[in-house]
Amino acid sequence: MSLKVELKPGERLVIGSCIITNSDQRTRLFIQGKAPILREKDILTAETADSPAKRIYLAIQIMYLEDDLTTMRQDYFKLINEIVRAAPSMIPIIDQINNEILTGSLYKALKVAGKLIQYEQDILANAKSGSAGLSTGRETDS
Amino acid sequence: MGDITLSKAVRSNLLNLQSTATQLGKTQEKLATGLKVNSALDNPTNFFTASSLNSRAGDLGSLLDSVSNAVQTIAAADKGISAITKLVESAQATARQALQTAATVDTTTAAVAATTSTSDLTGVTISAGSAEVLATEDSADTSAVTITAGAAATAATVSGGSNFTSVDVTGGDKSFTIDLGAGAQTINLTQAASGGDNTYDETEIQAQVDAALGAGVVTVGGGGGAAPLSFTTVATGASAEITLAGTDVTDLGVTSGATDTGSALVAATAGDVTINGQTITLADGDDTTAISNAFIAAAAASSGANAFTVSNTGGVLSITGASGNDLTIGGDAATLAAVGLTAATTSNTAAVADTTGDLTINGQTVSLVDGDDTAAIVAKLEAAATASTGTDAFTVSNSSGTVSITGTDSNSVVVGGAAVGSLGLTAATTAETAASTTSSANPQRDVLRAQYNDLLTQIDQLAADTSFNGVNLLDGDSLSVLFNEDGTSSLDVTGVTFDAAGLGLTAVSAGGFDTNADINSTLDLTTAGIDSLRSQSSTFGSNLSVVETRQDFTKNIINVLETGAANLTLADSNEEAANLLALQTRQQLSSTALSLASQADQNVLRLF
Repeated sequence: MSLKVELKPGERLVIGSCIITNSDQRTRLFIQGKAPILREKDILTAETADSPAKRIYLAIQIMYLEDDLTTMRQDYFKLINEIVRAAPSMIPIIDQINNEILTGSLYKALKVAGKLIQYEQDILANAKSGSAGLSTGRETDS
Repeated sequence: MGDITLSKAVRSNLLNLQSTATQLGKTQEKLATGLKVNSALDNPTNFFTASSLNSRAGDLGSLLDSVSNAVQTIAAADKGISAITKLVESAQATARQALQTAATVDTTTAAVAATTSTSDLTGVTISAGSAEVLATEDSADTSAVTITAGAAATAATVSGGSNFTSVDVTGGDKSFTIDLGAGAQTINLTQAASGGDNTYDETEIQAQVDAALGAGVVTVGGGGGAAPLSFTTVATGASAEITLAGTDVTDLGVTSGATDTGSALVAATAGDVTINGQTITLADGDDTTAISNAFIAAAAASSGANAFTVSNTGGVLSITGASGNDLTIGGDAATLAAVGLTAATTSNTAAVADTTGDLTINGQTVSLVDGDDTAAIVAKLEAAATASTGTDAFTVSNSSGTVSITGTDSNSVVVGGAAVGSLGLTAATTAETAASTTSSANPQRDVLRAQYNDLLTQIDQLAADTSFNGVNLLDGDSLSVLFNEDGTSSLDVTGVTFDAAGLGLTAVSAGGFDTNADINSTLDLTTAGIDSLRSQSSTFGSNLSVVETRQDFTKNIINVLETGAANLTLADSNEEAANLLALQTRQQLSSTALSLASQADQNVLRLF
């Protein structure tokens, strides 16, 4: 079962430890095999990963590209613990990510980490729009 | 009392006070417990999420236990392999030591002097020998023998020539004589008294004979006008004789001087003779020819151990037991006596070998003569020994009748001559048995071989002991480690059989360490065994690291879940947002960011 990838002109694709840059034509590629594959838009770098959730995404990305859990393990868990202490409501998503990593599907873990980033942005947007002071949102009057 | 009428403002103030009071109550509760979500009613989503997180942490916890067991099992197998490797190296050292010991040892046997022995000479006497004498019996000369049925003795009888009636003595007395061998005796026939009978018939004559000779000496018979008169002695036999004479004997019708002699008894000789079971019947009238033929026929009929032969030489019958057979003669005594044989059993006399002669021992002549007894023979041998010199020197020694002849120093013993057999020797040359050196396998190597085999037994035992929790990875058992609850993530560790046979090492059989080539091939086997151990050790090592990595990961997840579950009940989205922003800033300055950046630099991301 091969993976079908469509590249826009000039778009880049990472396969294993190589970068493939498309020429100026739309291209369709069929890829088979076990190497890690990431599209350019799915890639974060150390500069672009500037929020806690994004850093988690970056850690998972490194684990995926290197196919090795051990090097990033300590950093990854440090990030996880910090974010969970900061925002406990992220735990279900974190748990899902961990499960995917544990079963060895790092690509799926990456996808879930993308959802985490989205969730984080929702919280931050909420904070920006919300008022300072005690929250009244959760309590229900009797 | 009537209703209390409330104004609008009072009513709204009252409502505000009531809600404030409720809020106060809630806040107090929260302050007291410190939890924002105390029950499912406060925040159902978070509450149930927290419970599910806790139970998930529990599941992972129990999974962690089996992962820990797997780690211990693999660690035990790894330790087992190191121990077995040491044992195999020890076996290698033993084999190498065997290689360095000498392959053979020499044992020297001393020279044995040439020696030969006689047979037991006790009671031996040298003899000139004699031929075998067959059992033989000779009869008497049968030339004149005739077998007879025998005859009874007869009396002597004289008879008249014509029939007799009576004799008349009217004219005067008559007399005659009867001589029975002891002189004539007169028998008177006297006249009777007047008027009497003057005739004598046979009865009256008998009376007169009885009166003269005695009664029962001569019997008068015949007469009566029908037969001649007869005078018969009562006695029988050859000594019975009767002679009639006298003046008037003719009146009796008997010729004067007529005489007769009785015949003797003839013993019967007819009967049986038995020789070795053959019966020879001799009948009345058999003469020498018939007797001879009967004996020869019996001899021809004999056979086997009862065979005998008969030969007739001038009437003398020689009966010989054939081929050394005994001769048993029996039968009727009279018949035997007639042919001159006696009832007896005779045996043959065996031949005696001639043991005289010369024999030589190393050139010395020993002469054995008829009559030499054991002492004489031994003395002759000793004399020969004393006379021997130089390279022919030998000694003799007598041990209870057996004489040993031994060459002095390294001399051979040469025995020859016609009479060697007389002393139980053979014509032969016996040489000294030279000193020899034989090589045999060094027993030290066999000791080392036994040690090597013992080490293999220990390897078998160690492999059998390397189990943890009932699973022995060195005895063929396999291990499957699960990393998550639904079994989709797992690792299979395949066991191996690492007893001595599984490593390709078999016990060395006796003599297997005797040649260097064999030891070298055993050493090759041990080297191959160590290689298998090392490669399996590295496989187990990498399995162990995978399992340990997963183990650590799972522990951390449990930690996160438990922390998270606790923290979930403290959730507040505004707080979270504030926390996240603060975290963001903090992380920029933390080592984590640096570490991430450096990791990203090391792989393909640096190209972005």
